[in-house]
Parts: sequence; C-alpha cells; structure tokens
Amino acid sequence: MKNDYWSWCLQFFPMVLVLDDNAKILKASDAIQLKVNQDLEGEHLSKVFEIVRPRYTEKQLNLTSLIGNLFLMHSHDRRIAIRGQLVAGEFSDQKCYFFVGSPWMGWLKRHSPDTVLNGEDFPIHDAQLEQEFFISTQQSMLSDLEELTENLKEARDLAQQADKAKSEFVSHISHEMRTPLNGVISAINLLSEQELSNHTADLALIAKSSSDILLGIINEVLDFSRIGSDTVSIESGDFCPYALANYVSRMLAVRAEAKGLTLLADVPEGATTACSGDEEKIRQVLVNLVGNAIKFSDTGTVSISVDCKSSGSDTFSIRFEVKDQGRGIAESDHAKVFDPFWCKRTGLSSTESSTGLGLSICSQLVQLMGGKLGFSSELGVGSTFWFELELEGGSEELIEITSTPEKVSKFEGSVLLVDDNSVNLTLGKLTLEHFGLNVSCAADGEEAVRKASHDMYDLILMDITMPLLDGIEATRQLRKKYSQADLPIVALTANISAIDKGRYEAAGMNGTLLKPLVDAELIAVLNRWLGPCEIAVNDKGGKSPATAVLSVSESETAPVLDKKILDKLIADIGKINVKFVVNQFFTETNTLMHSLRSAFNSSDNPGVKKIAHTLGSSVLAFGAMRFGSMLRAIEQSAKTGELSLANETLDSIESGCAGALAAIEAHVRQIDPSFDKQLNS
Amino acid sequence: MEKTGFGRLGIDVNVLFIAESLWVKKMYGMINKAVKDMVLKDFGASKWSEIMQISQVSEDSFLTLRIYDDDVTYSLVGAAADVLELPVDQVLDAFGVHWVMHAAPEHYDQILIATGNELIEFLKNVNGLHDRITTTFVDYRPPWFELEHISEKEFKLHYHSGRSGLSSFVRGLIRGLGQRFETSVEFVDVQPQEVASGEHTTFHVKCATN
Repeated sequence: MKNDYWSWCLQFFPMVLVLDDNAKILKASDAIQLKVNQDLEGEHLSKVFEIVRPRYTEKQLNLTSLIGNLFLMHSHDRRIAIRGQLVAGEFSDQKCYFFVGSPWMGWLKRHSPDTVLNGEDFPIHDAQLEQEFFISTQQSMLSDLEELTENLKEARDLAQQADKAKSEFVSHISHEMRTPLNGVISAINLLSEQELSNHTADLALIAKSSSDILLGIINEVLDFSRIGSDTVSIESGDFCPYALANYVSRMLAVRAEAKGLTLLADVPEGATTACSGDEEKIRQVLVNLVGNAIKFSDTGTVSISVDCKSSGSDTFSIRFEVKDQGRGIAESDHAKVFDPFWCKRTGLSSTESSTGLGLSICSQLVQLMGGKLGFSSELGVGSTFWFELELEGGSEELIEITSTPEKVSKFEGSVLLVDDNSVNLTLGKLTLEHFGLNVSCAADGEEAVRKASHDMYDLILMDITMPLLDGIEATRQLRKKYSQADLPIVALTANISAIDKGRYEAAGMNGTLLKPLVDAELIAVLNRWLGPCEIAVNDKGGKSPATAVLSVSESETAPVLDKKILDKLIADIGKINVKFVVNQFFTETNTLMHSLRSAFNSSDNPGVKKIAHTLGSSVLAFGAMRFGSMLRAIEQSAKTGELSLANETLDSIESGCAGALAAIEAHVRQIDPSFDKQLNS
Repeated sequence: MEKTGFGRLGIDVNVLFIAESLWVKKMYGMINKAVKDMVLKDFGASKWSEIMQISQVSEDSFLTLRIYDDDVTYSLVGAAADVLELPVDQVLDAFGVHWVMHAAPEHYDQILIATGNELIEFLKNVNGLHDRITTTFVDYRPPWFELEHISEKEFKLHYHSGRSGLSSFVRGLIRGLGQRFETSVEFVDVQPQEVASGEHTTFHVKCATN
C-alpha cells in the first residue's frame, strides 16, 4: 500500500513529481524525466523549474500554502513546460506533496515549438487538445473572413474602377456626341431660317425636334452618370425663388402653348426673397417638373407656385409646387415614380420622348441639396409634384436678376469666337452674326490671345480643348491684361461638371456655355454680357464687314468682293473645308434667291424682308460686299414699306448675286484650283 | 521519419479523418474550402471557374465553421470529375491526399503532431482524436475505425461510417498519411462489407518506412 498515491497519480496524470516539505524532488515520472535531460531525483524544484504561477514571496517554497493553486512552470532549459497542481500524500511512509499535471501546451507552442508531444502526454480529462483544436478552427475561420474581406475589397475596387471607367466613357461619348450634334443643331437652326418648301420645312421641323430630343437624352444620361459617380457638387449663390419660378414659367410658356395648355406662375406681384442656394440645380429640377407636367397633359392648366417661409433667423423653407390637370399616375405606379428608367410612355407623341431618368435625377439633386421631393397624383385627374428646401438667406444686393428669356434676337457688340473645330467655328460665327454681332474667329488659344491683345472685344466665347494653347491657359493669360468686368470670357464646352466649372472659374472665366449651342442659352449669355439691342440699320454701318449694313448708295460703291474677308473666312474654316462650305453657301444662296424671286413675284413684302436679311448675312460673311449691301438696303426698304417690287429691282438683285457668286468662285479657284462648283438640290 | 515537433510536420490521421466525420448530411465549410484549394493548387483557377459554373454552386467563398448543405460538396466533387475528366472515386482519393498533406496541417498541425509519429500509431489514435473533436464540433458523428494488426508492416483498417460513398476519400487519406510519414502504402485489398446502412469497408494495407 505504501506506493498507492504514486500509482493513483500516474493513472490520472502523465507528469508526476514527489516533493518533500522543502520542495526537493523525491521521484519523477518517466514522462517528465524523458523531457528533462537530467536526473531529477534529489534536485530542488526551483533549481530545475522556473515557477511562473503561483507567485510566491518566500525564499523557501511553502508548499502547504500552495495546495489547490494552479501551477505553471517550465524547465530552466525550456525543453518542457508543465501545468498542474499540488496534492498532499504519502511516499515511502513520509508525508509529502505530489505535483500532478500535463504539458503546458500554450507555453510550449510559443516558446518551444520544437518540443515533441504525443497523445499519451495528455490525459483524457485534459482539454488542452480540444482547446487547441477550437482555437485553430477559430483562427481558420478568422483567416477565411480576412480572405473574404480582401476578396470583397478587391471586388469593390474593381467595381468602382469599372464604374469610374463607365462614367468616364459615358462622359467622353457624351462629349463626342455633343460636338457633331452642335453642328447638326446649328445647321438645322440656320436651315429653318431659310425659305423652305412645305415638305422641306416639315423635314427640318422633324430634324429639329429629333435633335432637341437627342440633346435632352444626352444631357439626362450625362447628369445621371455624374450623380451616380459622385462628381456633382452643390454650389451656392444668391437668387430669388419667385424670380426663378417666373423665369421657368416664361421659358416653357411656348412649349405649353404649343400643346394648347396654360402655364401659370402663381407668384405674388413684386414678391422677392433673397436665398442662398444652388440656383442652377433648383432651376433644373423645376424645369424638369414643369416639362413633365406639360408633356403629360393634354388640356388644362399647369401652375407653378412658390412658398417661402422664414424658418429661423436667417433661413427659409422654400416649397416649389407644380400642379397639372394631366393624365396622372396610377396608384400602383406611385412607388416606382422616382426609380431610374421608369416612365409612363402611354400617350406621348412622336415628338416627345422620355428616358425615365428625369425624375430620378430630380430626386437625387434635391437629396443632394438636403431637401425633399414628393408628389400626389390621381389617374385621369392630374398630378402635383413638389420639393422643399431649407436655404439660408441671401444678399438682396447680390441677387442676379434672373433674366426673362425674352425673344431678343439682336445684340450689339463684337465677339471673339474661339474653337479649333472649323465647322463649329463657321456655324457659330454665322449664328452669332445672325444675332447682329460682329464676330471674329480664332482657331486656338494662341490666336485668341493675340487677337484679344490687339483688338477690343465685348465678349469672348472660348472653347476649352484646343491645340497649342487651351482655353483655360488662354484665359489666364488674358486675365493678366483684362479683368472679368472689362472682358467677359465664357467657356464654350461640352464638359459641365462641377469640377470643370471650378477649373474654368479659377482660370478667370465668367461663365459656361454648353455645346451644342442652344438659342435660349446663347441668348441668355449674350443678354447678360452684351445687353439686348434693337439694331437700327443705319446705326451699324461700317462696323464690320460681316455685319455691315450699308446704305443704298454704299451698295453701289462697295466692292463686289472683299477678298480679305473671304480669305479670312477660308483661313478660319481651313482650306480642307472650303469646297464643302462654299458649295453649301452656293446651294443656300440659290435656294434663297429662288425664294426671293417667288416673294417678289407674289409681292410678299415681309417675305422679301426676311429672305433679304438671311441672304444678306450669309453673303456678307463671304465678303460679297456689294451684293450684301444691296440686300441690306432692300431689307430696310421692305421694312419701311418703301421697297419697289418692280422687275428692275429683281433684275438688279439677280445681277448682283451672279456677280458676287462669280467673284467668290473665281477667288476660291485661285486658292484651290481643284475647286468644283456643285449645287446640291 | 523522426517526429519533428510543433510548428513543423504535417498531419495526423486524427484530423485527417475529421474531414469524413464532418461529411454527414451537413458539411462544414472547411471541406468545400479544401476542395477549392485542391483544384486551385493542382489544376488552376480556370478549372475551378469551370467547376463552379457546372456545379451551379452560387458562391465560392466558403467559411470554415459555416454549415453548408452536403449537396454543395457533392455538386463540387461531381463537377470536378466532369471538368477534370476523372472518375469521382479518383477525385475523392485525390481530395483525401490533399486533406492530409495540405488542408489539415494548415490549421491543425500541432494537434496532428500530438497524435502520433507514424502511420499505425496515428491510425490507432483516430478514434481518440475524434472523441476530443466531438467536444468542439458537437453535432457531427465521426466514423469509427478498428485497426486489425497483422504484422509490423501489415494491417487491416475497418472503416465504419453512417454515410456511404466516401471509402475512396478514406483511401486517399491513408495514402496521404503514407506520404506524410514517408511510408510506402500498398493496398492489398479494399473490400466493402455488407451493412444494413452506411458503410463498412476494410482496407488491407501493407506498409514500409522508406
């Protein structure tokens, strides 16, 4: 019986030490002895092992007091670490202490990873292996989650890159589409000014309507793309919500009238409130809502109302409301109204179109401005769309009066048009000249700086992306000489993101005009920087070859062809375009002459005046000064009712036209011998 | 081979067979993850993409402790057989080797080390390890092994499982163990036994330390 304690301990624990009162080792189990490379019997416990736990202060271990404590210790040579406890017992008939335990796995794993442990080192009741398995599994799980997180991050980065690339692609394509569309719209506008047969006029109307729709689609897609890619920022400026409502009402009145609708702005007479907010985006939302109301109404009234309430010492709650008596929206569709690409096409005419993005864009813009957009609608009764914004008060003095888009068609001043696209340049020049402006052209920034340094201009319309010197750098250089007040420079570009606008403004530009040029926007810019002017024919004489309005007497003394003007035009459009542009001019002139004859023959005085005006602008642009002045004189005479519709007059015109065209053709042949006059029908 | 200790050598039989243990009705993600790792390692990402496409398994990020329907694993193995143009049994066998040599040591190396130093010793301890593992994975039912000792270099391992169809996987595990302990393994006979349910297969093995 004297070895009972020892035998019992070994049944439960692989590692057993017998200690006397002084902690001297009397006996060690094989499992320990094999791990420690020395004979343990007779050694003091503390000489072989460093006891980590329990902590003790006495120089000599008081084993009795440590019974029941968890022992953690490792050999000084760090080959083995043991966890266990002391129990009191007997060995060789003496009272003694039994240390019983098993390998301390955690310590060994960290400090002695080369120590080999076997399954038999761990008694069944020892949970260290299970603990190790559990921890390893948790670590594996952690690794899985880290890997998954990394995969998700990579996927997110890839998606963001793809999204960015997509946005850039859309933006790029949009830009590329705007440029030729600029040509299409400008050409159609000019074509519409001509005397056209009914059939051609119908086709021109379809082309105009389709190109407007296309422009609207491009703008919406671009807006949607920019909002989605977080490149839209909210700007702040002073404006009056009432004036804005009036502006939008007048702007869309024609469209409403065309459908037989009444568009009303419910704005108290003389009401003004100065607010600070992003007027452009608020206008965009309001225009969209009113545009929808018109689009989806067949009869009745569309009304715009504004409610401005003070909501603090210097804040206002602004509510815009657009109410129509149109088709309304079925209740089952209410939840989808602000979803992208949702649209109710039913009943839209061939000239109407919807991408289904407009309301989604509005909703996101209002959200970006911290506001709310909502609606109520009943099928067959009508809809009311509203949005509310909390805005700070603005400065009354700084409010720019939102100009009414009046039908001002004449302006006074000289404009420098800068664009490296020769077609844009030619068409833009003709368009501006149509408004009565004296237009010079420059094909790049360097030429623009050179011309603006030498001549005085009232306004520069500056393309951005150009060879040699881009529009931004050209503006910077010009700003060293001219202030923004002295020489307004408006960016002429298809890029209108907030970042781009910021760059333009930082360079010293006064504003931005979007290509393709839209009459209303161009008029707004000209109105702002030049001021409207009713041209008095005699007042403008000699101001510029292209816009010169000569007296009747001058028409007899003016040169048949001012070669400098034609040379300059050819230089502006580039020789490569001469054939196309000059032939186009010949064709248009023939068509107009045909119309003019008809007007003469039918004694259509207003028709003669209109055609003479159009034809005069055109031929003066090509340097046909005598014929141009003749047409101006005829226009003036028709205006005052003094025009003789005698055959002699028509003969003079025919003769003047033939002389002008012959002179132009001859001069062009000198420049380009291969020039072949071709009249397109 | 002399045992090398913590942090080094590979696998233990015990953890090897955990794989089969967990392969009951519902699968822990570690199994699917190991199948994926094996394909990626041995056959490349394009093959794995093909397998995912054919298997119609919707996700390929498997979490060790997440429980998946066992159809996911069977779909993966079946698709792997199709794509790799191998019999399913061969895929399971290869997976057994992969589990021993790569999957288990990655996270359970120390437990494997503590289990035994050579093939037969490991096989002896399989049941003991499964007993311990059950304390963590409480819902799985491990298989049961009986080791019939014939000589120092020959034994019969009786594999009992509540699930059928995985004997090829166990065969791969034994082959992997042979590689693990640098012991040549020759299957004298692999004999399925008649049982009412599940599977009982006897692996008659001759082995020799290289």
